[in-house]
Amino acid sequence: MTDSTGLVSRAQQGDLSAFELLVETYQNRIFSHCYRLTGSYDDAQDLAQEVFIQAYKHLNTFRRDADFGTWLYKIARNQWINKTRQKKVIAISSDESLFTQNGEFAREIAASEESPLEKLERDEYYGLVRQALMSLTPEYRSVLVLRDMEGYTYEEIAEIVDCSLGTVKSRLNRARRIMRDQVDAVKRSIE
Amino acid sequence: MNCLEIQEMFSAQLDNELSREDAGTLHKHLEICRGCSEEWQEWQRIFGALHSMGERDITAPSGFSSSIMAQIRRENSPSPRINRKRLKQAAIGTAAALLLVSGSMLLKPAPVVNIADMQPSIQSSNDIQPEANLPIADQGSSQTLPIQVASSQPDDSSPVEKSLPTEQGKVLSTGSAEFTSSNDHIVLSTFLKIQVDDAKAAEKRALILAQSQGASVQSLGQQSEGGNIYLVDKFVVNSTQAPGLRDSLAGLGSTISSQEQKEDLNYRYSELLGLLISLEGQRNIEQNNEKIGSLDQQIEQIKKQLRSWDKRSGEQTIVLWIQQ
Repeated sequence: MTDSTGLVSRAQQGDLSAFELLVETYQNRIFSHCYRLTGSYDDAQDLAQEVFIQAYKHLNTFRRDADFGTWLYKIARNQWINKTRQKKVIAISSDESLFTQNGEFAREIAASEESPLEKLERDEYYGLVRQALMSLTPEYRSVLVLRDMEGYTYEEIAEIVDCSLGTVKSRLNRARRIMRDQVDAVKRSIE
Repeated sequence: MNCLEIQEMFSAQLDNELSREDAGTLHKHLEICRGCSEEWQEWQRIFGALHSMGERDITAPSGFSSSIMAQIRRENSPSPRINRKRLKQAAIGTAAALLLVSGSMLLKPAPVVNIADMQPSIQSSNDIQPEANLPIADQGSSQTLPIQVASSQPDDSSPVEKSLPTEQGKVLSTGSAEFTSSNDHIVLSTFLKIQVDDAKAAEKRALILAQSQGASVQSLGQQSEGGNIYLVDKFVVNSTQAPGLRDSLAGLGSTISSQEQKEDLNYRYSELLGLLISLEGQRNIEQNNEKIGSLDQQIEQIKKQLRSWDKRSGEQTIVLWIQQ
């Protein structure tokens, strides 16, 4: 957890430069999170921007005893779920296994010890897993991103998702089982 | 315990949340049940992959915090409030107006922008619909149009410089004139997998073809395995030459697969260009040197991003996988 209490306090008193420092501190974490949720660089940019704008607008509702990063994650999740509900569709991401958002071959950022064939197979598998993840409902995808990709604890997820510890565990269990089935479904669809 | 009950434990086991007793039961079962053991391995593979994907560094695009702060400052300014939808349209309208003005005043080979063509290509996430038929004056009414920048200059057919001196010696920023908001900011990439009889010979021919099309080449790796040879090369080529090169490369063998990825940058480009114009407007009326310096930094960052998108839009990447 980043100690941002002083900056938050100054920002709440109208200090824009303090808020700018908060944006700079959290922008990569929030952008990554948005990218993992949406599966799209463009959507992530829109969502992350909206997160910080909303955070600024509602800064006075933030309790200083809470963690600012967790609060931003909560805004991100709520904004994203609202957006997906408005659109009533959940986009299946394009295959990230082959290209990164810069159009570069994803294998270039892979571990250097692997052979080209191993790298390609690994990236193809990642693409498949990613596609399965993108097919989950926002509620299930959100807990998987938080727990399995970003390593948050049950307690932190409960705070972000705004539910009990028991609900986090059962939702995570359910999300993983569905994810497991979806990986098979994606495999079948491309065979 | 039966297999279903055992598999109910997988999620907790991934998080090391099982009691010692339950973990022992699980392990004993996995030792004697092949089905559950394979299923557990698949779970580890899937969630291990998610974990590894989560470790990849993803950073916010350059100029991200600046664009947020510029938006907040605009919304905080005492000028009449306009909603976000209007603000986006206003920024685009401002861009169009300045481009038209700078085009006519400075006799630069003008990037003529027609408002009717300025509708952003709406990305899947975007819930903002373009408002058609908004007159320029209405769209830009709450923006400071830096028209005086252009009108203060003598007619000159030379290219527009990044900054222009005024009579008072103050340097005005007009660098946005180098950018054009059009609908051709689309980045294309192709992954082409071909089967050939002789991989080395095919690669050699591929390099000759690439050279003839002026493409840059990067070898991504090669491998021999069980009598098979795999070679992977990346070509970056001018967009106009790309279809020809792709077809020629496909003709080197039989195509196993060909996948294209299209990244539409048009909307982001228009938005960022609108922001650039707006910042230049602020910068040109700003008196405080410190704030001018900060605005110049933001302007430079945005221009860097726009230039990078301009460059990428003019090129196409082809990754060629040759297997023998």
